[in-house]
Amino acid sequence: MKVLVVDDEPPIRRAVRVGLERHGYQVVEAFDGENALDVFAEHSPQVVILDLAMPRRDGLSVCRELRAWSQVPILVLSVRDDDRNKIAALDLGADDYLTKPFSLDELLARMRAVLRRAEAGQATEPEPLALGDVTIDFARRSVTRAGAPLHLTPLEFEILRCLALNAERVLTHRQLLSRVWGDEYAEDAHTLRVHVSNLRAKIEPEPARPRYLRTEPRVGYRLRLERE
Amino acid sequence: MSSPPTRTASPRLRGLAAAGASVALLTVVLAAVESAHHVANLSMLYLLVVIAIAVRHGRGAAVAAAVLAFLACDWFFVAPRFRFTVSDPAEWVALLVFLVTATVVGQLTALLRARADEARQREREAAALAEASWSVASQFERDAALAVVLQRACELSGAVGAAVVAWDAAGPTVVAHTGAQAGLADWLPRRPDEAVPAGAGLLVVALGAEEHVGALVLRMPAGRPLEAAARRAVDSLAHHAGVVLQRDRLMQVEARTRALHEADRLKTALLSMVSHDFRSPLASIKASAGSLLPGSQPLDPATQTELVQGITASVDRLNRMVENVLALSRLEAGAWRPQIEPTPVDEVVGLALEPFGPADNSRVRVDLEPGLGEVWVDTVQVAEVLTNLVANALRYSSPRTSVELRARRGHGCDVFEVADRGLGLPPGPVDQVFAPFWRGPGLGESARPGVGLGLAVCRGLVEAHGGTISARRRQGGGTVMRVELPRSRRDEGLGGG
Repeated sequence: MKVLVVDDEPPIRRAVRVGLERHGYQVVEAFDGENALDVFAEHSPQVVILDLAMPRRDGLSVCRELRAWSQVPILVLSVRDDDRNKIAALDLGADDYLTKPFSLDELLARMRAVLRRAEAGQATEPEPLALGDVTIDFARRSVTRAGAPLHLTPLEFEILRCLALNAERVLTHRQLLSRVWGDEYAEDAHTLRVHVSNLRAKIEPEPARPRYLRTEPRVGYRLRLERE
Repeated sequence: MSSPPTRTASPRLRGLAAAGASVALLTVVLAAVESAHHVANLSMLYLLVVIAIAVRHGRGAAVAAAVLAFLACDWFFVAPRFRFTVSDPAEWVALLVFLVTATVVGQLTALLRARADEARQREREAAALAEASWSVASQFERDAALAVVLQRACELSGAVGAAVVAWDAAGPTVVAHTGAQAGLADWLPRRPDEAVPAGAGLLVVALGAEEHVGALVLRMPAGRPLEAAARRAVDSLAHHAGVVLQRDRLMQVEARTRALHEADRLKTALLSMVSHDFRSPLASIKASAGSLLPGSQPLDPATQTELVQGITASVDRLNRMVENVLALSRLEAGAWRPQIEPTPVDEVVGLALEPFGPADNSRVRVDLEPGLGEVWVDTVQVAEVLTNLVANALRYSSPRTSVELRARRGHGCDVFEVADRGLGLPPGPVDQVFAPFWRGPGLGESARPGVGLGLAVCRGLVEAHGGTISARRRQGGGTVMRVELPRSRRDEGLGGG
């Protein structure tokens, strides 16, 4: 498995390389945006770890360029408070993001999640889910808690289905809204928040401390399965 | 207007004309009366005319009236009549005495009048200066004080417009003005020591002796130069204007100094924090990293893990401090506007509790008022506030006690409270804990490193929401931190769609 690490800071590239190589990945490096496109063309990596703030073509532009002809999973590295670029990268097709400073464990977990999704391909129906004592069978549209049926509204069910299809991966407000409601509702983050809150009340053991339906502030939501 | 010399000469000519006319009129009247009755001491009547002319037209006219009266008396009423010769020597004496008396009385009367005029003028100046002084002393607002000075300067000098002008490298600036201003800027000298172009009708009076602070510029009506007496008063008013400008400049310097002083205090505190709070995690990282290097004795895996976990914890702490320093500087620069949106309260609370590990989380009891629904907040910022408050509560209380996080509806606001059974607030005003870099007495070098910024950041964020944050001592021991956020934005938000 070949990973392209794009960052203009050598110590970060080096640390990530050492960490990934210890876990059996093969690593190629690029030091800026232009270089990233060249190295990508030469090595065809299976995952790209992409810093956003770089000289000579920033991460957003690289993301746009790559998505024009490749579905390679892209994991974006950003600093906190750079919400706008982070969301823009995700909406452009980046698969997930990590906020600097991050731990190697987080990086590995995110990578595994995006790779799993890439391998699953174009699945339209997620696997049955077990969230604590709540079980969801998407094919049969059945939801039970400790064996007793649990009622979800069609919209709640649809939100959960989208998140389950992208389990462990962040979905932006815009992505969730346009998939569940349609493109014309892509800006209505408030509606989404209300439905997610209701969904939490039904499936989370403690809604004020969500274990599965995690909020990514200003960005979107992520379904965590606790299988790590 | 077109012939200034005539205008300047006219008062004197008018005086002479008045003298001639008065004497002639009296003579005609007396001649008419004389033909019927003899009038005794008619020269006394001429004396009255001389006094009247002296009062109205001054010394020159009085002398002219005296001489004319002398001649008229001689010509019309002293025998032989219609000649200047005098037959009776006694008449000569009488005529001469009249001339001398009339001249002297005329002079004295004119002098008195001049004195009275001068006194009135001084009184006006004194009143104007007193008012200007009072305004300068009582009015700390520059423009208001200058307006009074300018108005009085116009009244005293007869100017049609006045301005206070200051010079800097770029040229003259009109600081304040009153009355006619048209074209003033074109006439102003480019530099304070330049002469005013002749014919501009401008009078430039320096505001102060030392350095060129600026000038009082008067626009005089054509052909009416400033009288010497008024000049004194105008100088004095210019001095007042100079005082106002100087004081304004000093007040600005003082305000800047105070801001710099505060910034300097924060910077000093930040430096001491960097030197202490930042160094201890850095030291622990460096020591742990050194221990992990291969040495003579191999480390057992448990110790290695422990060291690495220590490094990670130190990095997290450093990262948190950096976030707080950044947040504080952005808040102080007013550059961090909250993005207020309706948000389910459990989402805010969930986000606030996310950074805490399972051990800490098990100590936090969450109590949300049923049906509270949504709060109108910037989710990230308010979660940050609650995280800081909960972190403090956990840090300063025994691990065996719990911390309560409550949310409920208040009057026109949403209320969040974080209550602990910890050390409690230090003696003294409770609000001191919100000052940047404040830390509890005795905590300075303690084993519980604080950053002294958390609560200052909380206050900044809450105030950016238009809310309030307060601390109080909890009954039975401990502390309650209370955050109130206004709900009034609900309507605005809905209006905006």
